[in-house]
Amino acid sequence: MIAARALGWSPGGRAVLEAFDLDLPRGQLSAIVGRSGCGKSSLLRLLAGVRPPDRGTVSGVPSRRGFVFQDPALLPWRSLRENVALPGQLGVDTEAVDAAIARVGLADHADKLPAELSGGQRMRASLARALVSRPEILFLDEPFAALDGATRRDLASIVAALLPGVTVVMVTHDLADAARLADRVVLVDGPPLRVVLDLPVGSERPRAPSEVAAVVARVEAVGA
Amino acid sequence: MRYTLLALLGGMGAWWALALWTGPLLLPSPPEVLTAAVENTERLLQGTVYTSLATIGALGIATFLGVAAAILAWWSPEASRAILPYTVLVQVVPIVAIAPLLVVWLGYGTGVATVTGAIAAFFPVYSACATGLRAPSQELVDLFALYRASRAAELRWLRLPAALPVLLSGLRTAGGLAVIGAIVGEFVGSNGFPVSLGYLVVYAARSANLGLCFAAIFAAALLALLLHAGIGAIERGAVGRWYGR
Repeated sequence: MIAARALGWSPGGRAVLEAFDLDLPRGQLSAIVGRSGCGKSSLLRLLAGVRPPDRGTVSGVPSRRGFVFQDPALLPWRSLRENVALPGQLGVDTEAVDAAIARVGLADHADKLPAELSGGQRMRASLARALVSRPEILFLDEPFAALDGATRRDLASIVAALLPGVTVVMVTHDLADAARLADRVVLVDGPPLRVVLDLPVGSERPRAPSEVAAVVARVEAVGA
Repeated sequence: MRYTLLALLGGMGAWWALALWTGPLLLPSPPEVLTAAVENTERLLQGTVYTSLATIGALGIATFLGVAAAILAWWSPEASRAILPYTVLVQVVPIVAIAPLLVVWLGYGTGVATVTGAIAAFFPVYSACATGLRAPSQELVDLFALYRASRAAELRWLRLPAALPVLLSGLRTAGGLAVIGAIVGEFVGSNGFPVSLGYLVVYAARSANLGLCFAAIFAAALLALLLHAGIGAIERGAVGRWYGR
């Protein structure tokens, strides 16, 4: 279990998180859903240990972590291959770089610079960089927000295939994405961030449109 | 391009007309400047070479010190506060005022021009590099934090490459200032052995040879222009591709 206890974070004096508690089961995909600006991306960074909280603790997070940001955040001066090789260069234990690139379907583009890739390809590259470190937990911050339908489905199925070996925590404002993929939908509001609904979704993936709609309806009933 | 050319021709025409009206003692006409340049080709070339050497040396010193100071300021907030008064001092002290002092310390020659050029070029290099080191997006900084990267690794793999485009555009500004600084240094610190452009300007003005004076000024402007274009070419070649240009 990943446990956040009494988390407090107030950058610049503005309380984004205050006495925040949350439990997320390992081996599942948890989707944290809420409107933009409510503090869910900040929560993700605190959970990932990218930034230290002002107060409180996060426990149970495996040490091998991957993070995919809303922006692909590639180094523009490095080729795709060199970008995926970055975690290894920073001393993280990694799998073969070319294998990670092949997994996201970019084997033919490995020598290109990010500027020469499309938006969808850049996001795939960003996922490959997260996967190359063989993460036990993967943090996704609005990973599909700016993508076309095909790339979106493709990346979602790559992420879903990682379960249950890899724990996934995904932040999104797209309720349908969450209802399609998540084992658990956590609806949040804020700031300061609070949990409005913590809903386990039992069914198997891929889910029928009617199942997705049912989950969306249950969350919207509480959210509205 | 056409309008640039037209404006240049128009400017030259106005200059020529003005020169005919005032006479060569106050303003030499374009052909008189050309004649002076041909008559003094050897001295002009020699002057250009020495002023170029001083300028390039100045730019090298300013780049080394500016980048080093910017890295230090990024590395430690304490160092940043300690450096601050000196960066301001270098920017506000008029180089014309300290050039005579430099002559006492360094003697006549290219030394004074190199130092005054470096002082003039330091601040834009430092300021551009300091800005560039802070250029990476929060996501990239978070990524390096995720992998527990050391500050040295962050500097090497993220901050310095990200600073390069900003640094190069700062260097373009610094290049022009280094030429100005070097020539001001030469006004005071060059006695004609070797001949430098700054010396030629002063010497020609004093001996009422305004044709030569103008030729030397044009040579200095050409030097600054070439430096600007050269750094611009490096900029496009090295970092243009990163941003799909």
